[in-house]
Amino acid sequence: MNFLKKVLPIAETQLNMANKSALHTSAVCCRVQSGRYRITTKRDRPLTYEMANPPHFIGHRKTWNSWNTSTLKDGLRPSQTAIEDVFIRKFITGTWHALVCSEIIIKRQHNTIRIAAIIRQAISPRKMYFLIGYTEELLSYWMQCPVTLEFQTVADKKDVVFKYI
Amino acid sequence: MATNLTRLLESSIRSTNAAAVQSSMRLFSNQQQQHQPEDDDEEFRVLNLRTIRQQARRREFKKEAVQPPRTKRMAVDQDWSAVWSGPRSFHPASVPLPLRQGYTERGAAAPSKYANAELMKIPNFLHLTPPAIRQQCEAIKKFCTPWPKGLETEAKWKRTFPLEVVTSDYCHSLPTIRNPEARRVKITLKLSDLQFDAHAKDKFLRLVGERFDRETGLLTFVTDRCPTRKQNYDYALYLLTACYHESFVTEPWEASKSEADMEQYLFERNQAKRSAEAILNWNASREEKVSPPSGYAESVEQLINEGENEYNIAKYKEEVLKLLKIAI
Amino acid sequence: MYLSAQLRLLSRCRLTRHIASGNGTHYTIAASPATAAKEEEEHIEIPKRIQRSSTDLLQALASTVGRDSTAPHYKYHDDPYLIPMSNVAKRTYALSKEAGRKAANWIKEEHRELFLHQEAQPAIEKFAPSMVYTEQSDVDVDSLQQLIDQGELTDATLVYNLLEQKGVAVSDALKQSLLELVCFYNNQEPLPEEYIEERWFLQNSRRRERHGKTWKDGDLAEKLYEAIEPKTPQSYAALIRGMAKYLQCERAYALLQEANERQIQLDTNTYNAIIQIVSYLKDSADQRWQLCSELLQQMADQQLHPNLNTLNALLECISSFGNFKLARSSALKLLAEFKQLGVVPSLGTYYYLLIIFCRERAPVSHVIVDILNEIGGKEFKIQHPKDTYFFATAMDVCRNHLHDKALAKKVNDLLHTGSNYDLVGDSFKESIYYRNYLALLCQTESIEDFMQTYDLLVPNIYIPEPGIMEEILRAVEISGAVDQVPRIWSDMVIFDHTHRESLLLYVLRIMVDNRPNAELPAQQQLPEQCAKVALDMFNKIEESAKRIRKVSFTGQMLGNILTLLVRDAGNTSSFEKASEVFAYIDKQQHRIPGTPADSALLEYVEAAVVHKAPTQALAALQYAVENNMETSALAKCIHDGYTLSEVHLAKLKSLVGEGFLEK
Repeated sequence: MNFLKKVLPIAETQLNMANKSALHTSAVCCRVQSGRYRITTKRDRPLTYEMANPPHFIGHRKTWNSWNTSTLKDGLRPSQTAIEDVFIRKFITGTWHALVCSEIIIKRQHNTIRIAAIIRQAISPRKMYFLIGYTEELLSYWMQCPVTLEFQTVADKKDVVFKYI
Repeated sequence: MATNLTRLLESSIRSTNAAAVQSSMRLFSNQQQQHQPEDDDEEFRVLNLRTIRQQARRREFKKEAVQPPRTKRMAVDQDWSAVWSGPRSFHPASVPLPLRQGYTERGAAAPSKYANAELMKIPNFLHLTPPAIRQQCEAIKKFCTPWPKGLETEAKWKRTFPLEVVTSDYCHSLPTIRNPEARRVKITLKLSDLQFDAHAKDKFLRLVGERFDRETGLLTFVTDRCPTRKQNYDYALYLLTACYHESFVTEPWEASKSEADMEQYLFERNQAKRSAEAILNWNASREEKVSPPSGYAESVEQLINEGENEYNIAKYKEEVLKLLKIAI
Repeated sequence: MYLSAQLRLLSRCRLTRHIASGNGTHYTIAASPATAAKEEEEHIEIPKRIQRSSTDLLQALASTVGRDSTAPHYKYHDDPYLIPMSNVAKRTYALSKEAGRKAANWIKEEHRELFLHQEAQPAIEKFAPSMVYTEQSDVDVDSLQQLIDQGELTDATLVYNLLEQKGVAVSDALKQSLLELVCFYNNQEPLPEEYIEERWFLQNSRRRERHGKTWKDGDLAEKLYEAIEPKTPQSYAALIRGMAKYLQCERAYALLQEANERQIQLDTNTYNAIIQIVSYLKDSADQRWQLCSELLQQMADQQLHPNLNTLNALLECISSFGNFKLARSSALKLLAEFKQLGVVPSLGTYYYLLIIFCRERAPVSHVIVDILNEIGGKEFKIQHPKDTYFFATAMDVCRNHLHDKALAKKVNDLLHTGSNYDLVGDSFKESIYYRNYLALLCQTESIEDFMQTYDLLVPNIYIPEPGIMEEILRAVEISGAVDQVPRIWSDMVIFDHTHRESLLLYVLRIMVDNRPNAELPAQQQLPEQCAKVALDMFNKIEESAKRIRKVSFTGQMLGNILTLLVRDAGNTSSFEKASEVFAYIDKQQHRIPGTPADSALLEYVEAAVVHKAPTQALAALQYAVENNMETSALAKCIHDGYTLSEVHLAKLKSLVGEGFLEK
């Protein structure tokens, strides 16, 4: 409603102007789509708890996926940290291909980075250990911080499904 | 019954190993095969033209048996600080608590701790249980010295340590340990802790300017112009020392301070004194000369320095009447 | 971001000192005489800061953390799926992780241009790609010095060669340090320090290579040695030690003699290196001992003070003596003499004493008792390479030489004192240690006490090998503790011992021989559990037929499985399974060697009577007849148990003959 109150005067002036000028089109500015999932007709789209709660519930029903100090007042390196987090997420989803069942949680404390996620038990533990060693080492070369992986494994992808829509 | 069982075994082998059926059937021949309607191929057999494709089927990944969570083996009286010794993301198989987290509609049970990403997100304090903190405090006690005797209250240590140095450390979640803000150094000192004569005090206050707070009597130096904290600290102490020493120096030009340069009205130096003396010593001889009383001098100074207000005017009036010995 | 403001107070006297530090002395001191006097009368003593190194606090905090027996070693991922459950898994998982690390390192080195950014402040060198030296590199003496300081052997030799080609003069001191580096590693790149796991699991391969000479004759080391003119004592020392370390014994000794002839003053450690190879120089014990005495005499002439390494080298020489009397007496003499010299023995010294005194073909010696009295409760640091051999050997002596439980516990206590666990050696020695410890305990302790230790150690610290499992099963059999069997069986399944036929037979025998007493409430669950174990084993063996390591059934084994299934009387499904098993025996009788025991068949038939299944009972009888087994008891049981139908009766008659019924 507040939004409408703000928009109304502008709309009025625009309407007045429309009498004179041509048609004006632009995207609807109040439409929010990201982080929301559409209901399927068969009601068979699996959602995790994270996906089931749209972004405006962050801080109420779910928490952040990145924990660091860059967003505090006078925090340093905010943009670099965000980019690095994106890099980590892409790297891990690619390296642990089709194995990651949850969002990748990145917690930074001082210069250590702890990465948590839920992993499917689809490859043998031996291969997982190889990937753990590889991921930790390569990411720490890249970030120049010690990186620790803290994974939890689940037997099946369905274990993380919260509901179907 | 026995033959039924044989069939059962046989069919299971048949299903898993289709190629070996023919030969394995021979092995069971010591018992007469009876006619089994459910196994009889009533349908036509399928001619599979794409057998190669089937043989090259991807080898089924054989999952190894996953052991039960280790919480089941934990003793009730275990040493928890050994299990959870440092900051770590939550793991359901290592924490023997029936935790749940998450919002659900209509009073359904919250998601359990298994495969619950919410629990992994929140930073936990499982490594900072009271016994763990107690243990750690015991362990680092050997690096602590006792609080010195005679400094129990703030008044006492303020007297022995008049100078306060305040610096800040910043801990970020960054690959770097540097923070430009950490270079700032603030030193504070009570002016009354320094010894001055009148000239020096006046000059010192002029030198430090705004760094002196008249209301609290505190002198504050904040330095941040050097890149490191050590340099800034040295610089702050240098400033203090230099100002102090400089205030005792009387430069030749200081004598030429005229009335216009005075920062406040002084009765001693002004016309008011001379006029009052002139009035008091009207026709008096040289020996009997009297100077105006201190009360008058104060009231004049107050009137001019603080400005005119009701109290000052009244006071001035009273003193003037007293000076001129006029009774009302 | 956390902010911590630090408040520091500067004392009055320091402030005064600061302020009065100007050259003007005529100013008043900040503190007035009155306050100064007052201050003096209540003199305040500020305690001195307790000095600590940068890691002392961390170490103090780490000392509060104990070992969690339910958790795996911290190098493994703490997740049920990823916790290793067998010795093979432990090894492969740790090495896989390290292989992953190596792969990442390879990528870093291969794509070095991508890793040149500088994020960390202060910079961490290990995260940046290492310098690469090639034939084209522009090098100077400083870079050689730096490489030698970092211990980069290959690069250092490369740079040295480059410098030589260019004709740059290298100082003798630098040549000397390069010579020392090359001699220490025998001009072979050592295993990088970061690969801890590879060191930990590197077992016998290194021991094998110690046997022969590995010194590279005429290689860089000797060239460098030639290049240093005039020869210094240090260059002699480096070359002799290198040769001695890589067993070029004759030449090392010749060099020592040459140095002596040229009146060159060598140092103690060079003599130690020669003493270590005395056993390669001389053959008989007397000659060896004589050479040792000569060397010691030379040391005394040069006024060299022997140290711990001398003691250990001498003891190593003594340990090679075949004559145990001579060995013992000379070892004791040595110890007394070194004690007078003030040399404190390390764990390596005690290791040598143990192998000198506790030999298989020599009389029993209780020297370990004295050793433990001497060192019990002390904390050790590594001083000698052989220090890590002590614990494994001590436990071996406790088990095989003295067979003494109390001593073993003492050794175990010593191992867990302070940071002594660092001296356990590698995975191989650790497993020897625990193998001996557990084997000794299961032979000497009651099964309940033993299982407590077992629970603490297994599986995260130690996983029993099949041989130890057999010992444990023997202990279980002796004490008849059939209630432990399900637990041990589940461990055996996890540790992958199920392909050992002897172990399987053992487990079955224990369960069959110790028939659980149904009256006891504690044992009421047991028949069911045993049946489960038996069925599990049956399935495992059947599955194993497809694998490489296959176990084949024997009649005995199947009979035992049958018995156990039948004994679980309360459960009808067990009997069905039993019939299934019997059907298997019946079908496969030509393949399975041996037959089930008579008692097994009898119990099966009895159970068939209870469950009213005459067909099965008759099948059992038929099997017994076909295999020439005792049939009369079976037939009697069947005849008495059922009121048989005509068909069944006819079959019974055809099997055991008409005469049976008349009896």
